[in-house]
Amino acid sequence: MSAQLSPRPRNTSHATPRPGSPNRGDSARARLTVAPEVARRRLRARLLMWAAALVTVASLFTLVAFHVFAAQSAFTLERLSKERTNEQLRYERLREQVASLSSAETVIAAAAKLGMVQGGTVVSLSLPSARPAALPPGKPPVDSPGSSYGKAKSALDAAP
Amino acid sequence: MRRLGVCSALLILGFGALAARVGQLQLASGAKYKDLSVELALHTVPLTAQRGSVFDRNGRDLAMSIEKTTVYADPTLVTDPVAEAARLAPVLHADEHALLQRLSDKGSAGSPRHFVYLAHTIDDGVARLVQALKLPGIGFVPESARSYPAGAVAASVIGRVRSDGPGLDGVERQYDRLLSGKPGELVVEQDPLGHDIPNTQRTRVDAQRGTDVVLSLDEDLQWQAEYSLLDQVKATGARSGMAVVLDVTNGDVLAMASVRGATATAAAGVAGPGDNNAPLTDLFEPGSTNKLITLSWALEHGRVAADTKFAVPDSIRVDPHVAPYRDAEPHRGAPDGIEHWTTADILRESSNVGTIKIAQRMRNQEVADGMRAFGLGEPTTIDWPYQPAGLLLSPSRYYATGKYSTAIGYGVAVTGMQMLDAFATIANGGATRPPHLLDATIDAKGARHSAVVPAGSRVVSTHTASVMTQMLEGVVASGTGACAAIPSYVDAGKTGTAKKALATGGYGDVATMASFIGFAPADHPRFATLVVLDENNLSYGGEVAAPVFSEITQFALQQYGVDPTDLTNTQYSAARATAAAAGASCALPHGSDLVAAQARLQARQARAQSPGAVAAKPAAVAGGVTSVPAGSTAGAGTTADSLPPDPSKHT
Repeated sequence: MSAQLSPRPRNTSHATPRPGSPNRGDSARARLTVAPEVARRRLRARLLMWAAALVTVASLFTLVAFHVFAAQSAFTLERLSKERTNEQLRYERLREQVASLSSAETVIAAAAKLGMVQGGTVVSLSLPSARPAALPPGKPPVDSPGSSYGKAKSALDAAP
Repeated sequence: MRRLGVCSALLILGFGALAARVGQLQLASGAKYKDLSVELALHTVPLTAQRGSVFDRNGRDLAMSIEKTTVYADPTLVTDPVAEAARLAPVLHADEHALLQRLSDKGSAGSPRHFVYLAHTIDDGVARLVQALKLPGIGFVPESARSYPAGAVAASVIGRVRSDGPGLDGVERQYDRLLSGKPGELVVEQDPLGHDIPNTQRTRVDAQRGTDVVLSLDEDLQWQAEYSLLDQVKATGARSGMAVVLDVTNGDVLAMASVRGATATAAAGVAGPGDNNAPLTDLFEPGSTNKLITLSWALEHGRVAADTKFAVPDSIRVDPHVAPYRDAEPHRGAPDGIEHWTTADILRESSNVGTIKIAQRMRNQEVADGMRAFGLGEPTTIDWPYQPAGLLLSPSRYYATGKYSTAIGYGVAVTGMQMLDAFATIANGGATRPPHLLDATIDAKGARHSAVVPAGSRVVSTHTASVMTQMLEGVVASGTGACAAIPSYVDAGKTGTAKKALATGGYGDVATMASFIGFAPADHPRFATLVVLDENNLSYGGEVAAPVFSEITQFALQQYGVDPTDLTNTQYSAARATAAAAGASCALPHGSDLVAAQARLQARQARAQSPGAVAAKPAAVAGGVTSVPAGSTAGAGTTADSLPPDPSKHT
């Protein structure tokens, strides 16, 4: 490899004049151009090749890293999704529990467990006969059981 | 050297043949085998859409779906069905033989069976146990399970669903299309043992959740209606009962209760999810509550006024060939047995004869038009599966008695909701307020859409409605509906006690439909309430249904903060005096009082079954029965709405 890369001597007339050869003068020298340096060119090629290799390796590494991160994110996403589902489930179960515990049936059952008993028949108490304040004097009490409802109704309209 | 050459040639040939075969498989038939492999590995699992919830008007859950685990099997992957069935049966609490049949059902060679359900919506603990078994061919999918957190409250309204989703009854059936949503599917790649292969092809089309349904029901009021009705059904030994509370101002059905009475095998209880929602499905003859329609229509068309006087005997014969119509009680107050009653008095006393006298002023078509105008003969505006339209006689078939029977609520079959709708029309000033059960829907994105409420129409004038309301107030204050009075409020309503038609034709003397329909407060009506008790041991609507009306409506008035309209208890005191004079207790027993009432009922029933009572009964029946020819409604109109202390006076 090194043999291939080492600069090879070239047979060129544009190289340094040989000793003993006639000096062609400045005009002739002015036409001479410096040939591209083989070593430099080869170095550039080598650098390019290294760079390409580096880019390839880096790309591969990036790709692998990206894949790893993507896979990791997928796992995170899946975990979050599962968590979301679980929380949703938990919410629904709690909602059901709240609805169930606050239902009349459960409340009554809990009350009975605590020793409470159902109330008996509801009895409404009426105040004794009294004249409503808004009634004009002279009118009979409106809530006497014997009074006609028609009369009572007309009095009721004037009551507070 | 030559041997080496031969060996090399053979090796080359061998490898060449292999390479050719691989080339053939990969290049020529590659696509085919790839498809085959994918087909074998991919499994499609249906994803059931979560069913929408059912809420009451306050957002409380009446029905909801919770995701649970459903176990399925791919029989083609089950290696040992017998062993797997034996291990699964005790965990799933399922029949081992049934499981074995499902696990062994591999389908045909042409269409192998890849999916059979083993257990739907199991508890999480059970699911974990099954997963721990790690059986080949057994898989799990999430599936919605229906839960009814309010228990039996409104069960017959909400209905139920089949295990695989569709609604069977009630709201679950009526709004099934909305509630059920759109199913999805999950395509997964599985190994030969049925386990999901990670990081492989997986397609998921999410199921779309169903729409939530918000009902106009109020859970608390619904419970109160069921509680009051159930205790009265128990106390009176009724066969069944129904109650409905309607918000007159907007047509919202706030409570709709159905109760079934005790049978030889079961105690009385609130109707369950599979039972009829009686107010919308059960037909009955309304009896005297139908007089509201007859009198309203007569008032509206100027046939009578509230103070028009009639000479009302206690019986009237409309055709010489049929038995006379009678009032419930003989007119003992008048010396000649003929009362001189106004239209208001006729309604207050629930006089059949008086109502027939009013109907005599109306044409046949007029009576029929009145029934139609108040909504009889067609289903109500409530969306309900199989809601009957009811039965109305055509005026052309009234013959001699049809008009009069219809006028007093016989020969007419209605649902409870239809009758309540008629009363709500009067409460609403003479215009209908179409009742509805659906308040709103909430879509999968959470947007609420109010239900479209049909517009009402005018049936009678506000004047007629106002006059009718005053007359109905009188029914409560000093008439047959005294037990319906509510402390601190003025209410209005009408009793009904209709004899039930016999299967053999005509009407018996025992079975009745006792009802009370009314509204409160009478001046600015907010709630209209119906209570009906079926076959309640000969008690009258005013005695058994009116107290239930009073208790339920009082609860509604207080719950919704309606201002009292009768602080001096004028109507209530007058009504109590009327009830006391008639010997009616107006009691709706609860707790220990209910136990005592049930004991009294049993004792009474035992006395009735004793030989002496049996001998006495025919005489009592003979005095009051109106025999009619089979299939005829003539002479049926012996409604009985007064408050006799002794039910045996019922005629």
